[in-house]
Amino acid sequence: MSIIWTTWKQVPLWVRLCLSVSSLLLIVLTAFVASNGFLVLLCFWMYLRPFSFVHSDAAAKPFSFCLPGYRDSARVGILVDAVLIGLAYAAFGVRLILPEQSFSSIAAGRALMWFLLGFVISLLWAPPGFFTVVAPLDAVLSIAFAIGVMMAMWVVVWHSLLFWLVVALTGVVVCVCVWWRLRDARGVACRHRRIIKETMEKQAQIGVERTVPSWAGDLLLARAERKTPLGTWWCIWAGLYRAFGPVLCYWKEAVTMALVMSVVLGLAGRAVAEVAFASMGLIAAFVDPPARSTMLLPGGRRERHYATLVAPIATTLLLLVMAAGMAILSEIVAMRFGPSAERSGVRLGSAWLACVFVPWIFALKPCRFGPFRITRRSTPILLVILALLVFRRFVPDAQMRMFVYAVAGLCGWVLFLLVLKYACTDGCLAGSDVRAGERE
Amino acid sequence: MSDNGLMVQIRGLSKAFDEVQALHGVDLDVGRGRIIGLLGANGAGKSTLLRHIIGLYLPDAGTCTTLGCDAAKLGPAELARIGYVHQEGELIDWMKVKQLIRYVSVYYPKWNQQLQERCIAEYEISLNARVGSLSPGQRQRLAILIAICFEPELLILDEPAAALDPLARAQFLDLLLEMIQDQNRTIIISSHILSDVEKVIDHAVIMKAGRIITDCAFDELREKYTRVRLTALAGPLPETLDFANVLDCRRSDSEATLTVRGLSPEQIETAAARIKCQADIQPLPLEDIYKIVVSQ
Repeated sequence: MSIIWTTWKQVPLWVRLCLSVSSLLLIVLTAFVASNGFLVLLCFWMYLRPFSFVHSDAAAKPFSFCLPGYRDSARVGILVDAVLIGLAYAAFGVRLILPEQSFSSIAAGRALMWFLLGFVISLLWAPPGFFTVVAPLDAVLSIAFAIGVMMAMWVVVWHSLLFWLVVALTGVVVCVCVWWRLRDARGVACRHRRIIKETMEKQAQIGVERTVPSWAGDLLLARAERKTPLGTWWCIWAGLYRAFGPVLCYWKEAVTMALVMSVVLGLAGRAVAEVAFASMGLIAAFVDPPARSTMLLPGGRRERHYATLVAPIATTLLLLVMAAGMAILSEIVAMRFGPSAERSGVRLGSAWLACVFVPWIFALKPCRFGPFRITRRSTPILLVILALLVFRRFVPDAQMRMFVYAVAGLCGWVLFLLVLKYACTDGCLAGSDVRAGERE
Repeated sequence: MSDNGLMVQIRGLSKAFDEVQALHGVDLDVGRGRIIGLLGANGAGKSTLLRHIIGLYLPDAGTCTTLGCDAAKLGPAELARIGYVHQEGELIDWMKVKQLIRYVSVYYPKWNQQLQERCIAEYEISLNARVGSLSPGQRQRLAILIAICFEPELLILDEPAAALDPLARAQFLDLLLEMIQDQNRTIIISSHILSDVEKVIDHAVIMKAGRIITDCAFDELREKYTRVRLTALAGPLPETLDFANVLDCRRSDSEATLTVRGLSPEQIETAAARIKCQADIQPLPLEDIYKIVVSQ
């Protein structure tokens, strides 16, 4: 069975419209609920998820895939995954607009138990992405979505007959799935392995689909040309062009996003600031340092070392400038439109968080050649955002959090320097497919 | 270049990737002006060896000296003299072709603009196409272009023609033959298309399971293995054909085709005359020689 990997453009128009409209609605709603404002960014990122999950066929005719006779469990798995994610979005949307008092820990615990059970058993049904060691981070994210689903279901239907109906239906579905899976366990597992491999390979091929603007060449390559031929600075400038090219391909989107985020920051309040700025590290995920490449250019290990060292430094500076600009703009928005309590300049103070996770992302980049090589670029930063949300819950003291962020940033730089030194002095500068039986 | 006139000198090179031993104590000398064919099955260790030469891999044991410098410490000056085309054709996908050519040309003080234009015309490379949207064949052509336009002294071609169609392969071969005219240029070519390789190489290195099993001049290799067609001058062929070192024999009543090793034309003629046969001596194609060497 072949699987058609779905890109944003392939998703049917109505799905795109629904997601876009609901996404915007969610952001607007969240923007006016200051206490829960930090969730807006999580929701925003989560909205990006189905674009890489929803199978185009499944999206076009979702109910057909639930009919008897469709034993193509991978497709159903994808649909289940998509539904879970969709419910999670709904959960967060509802969570954001409901008052805090409507939650009770006991009820939440029950909901958690029921839906965790449902989710774990649905994992046995093998949605793509769970049964592969190459995307463990995606599995973590997906479990987070499941928790979102639980919360949503509890918020929406708790204390009503509907809740028990949902539980009963879930139970039936789970039983059917287990029975179905047990009937053809080996065949299903075999198909899944192949499909997961295919999808992950295709996913890995999804890259930048644009070309770098010509002014970037004039800006960076022209500088290289002015330096001593084959000197270190020559290599560094040319390396910067190569490193930042994928980001510069999307510079218009980056600027637009920064403007939108500034407005959201201004409206949503200080609670959003930490996550918003930290999430800017996503840009670093798109910077490609030239340390490891089989395209041979006259840059030795030393030059690759320097060029790769300069890339996160330049990224840090770029992010700091962007974050400062966003903070200033958001203060202006807050002063003009936001609640009076939020006019405190706290956003500018949080702007440095934009660069905290940059060294971590660069330190992890060489791992793309290892078992993580086919995970998405955005995965590390999505995890960071989730971690931040959890961290905020457990450490309410802002000063303590800032201290931890600073320590994390410093540790990140140390780790990055160690990884870089190893990669450029002692490591292989190209990947090897020897494990696949290809000694060459 | 090193004092002993060698472009590449490898001694006792070993490399393992986890449990897989990719190279076992490889020794190799590559003299200036040589055109070396590096032959071997998939997994023989050819690409690993080539990547050691340009410093992408570091050896577990042994040494690799390229252009007189430890391959691990190759600097811009040395690397600017080495061209490398590899089988995966890694290029920068988010650039347009013309942007990639500009980006690469920036690195090289000597960039042959005429050669670039000629390659673009011959290979029909679209300058405004996005590199990531090129077909495998077009990518390979582009990879060849950027590896040769700075006229490297040492050109390393790792399966350069694997993705090329027959026409493009012929063009590439013509270009390679032209490049060979430069006496100072050293080329190491690894390819499975042996019929192409044998037109250009003057030295053959055959690898098997991470070891070099043959390293000699191509002419020497061709002289070593010969195909002899024997035709009986009167009557049928004798029961026993009195030839030494016969590797293969196919015969009918009056004709026989032998593959022999290590016999000079004179020795063959003498042996044929002894059994009253006419001997027609033919050189073996590289593909057959390769099969014989690898199977031994």
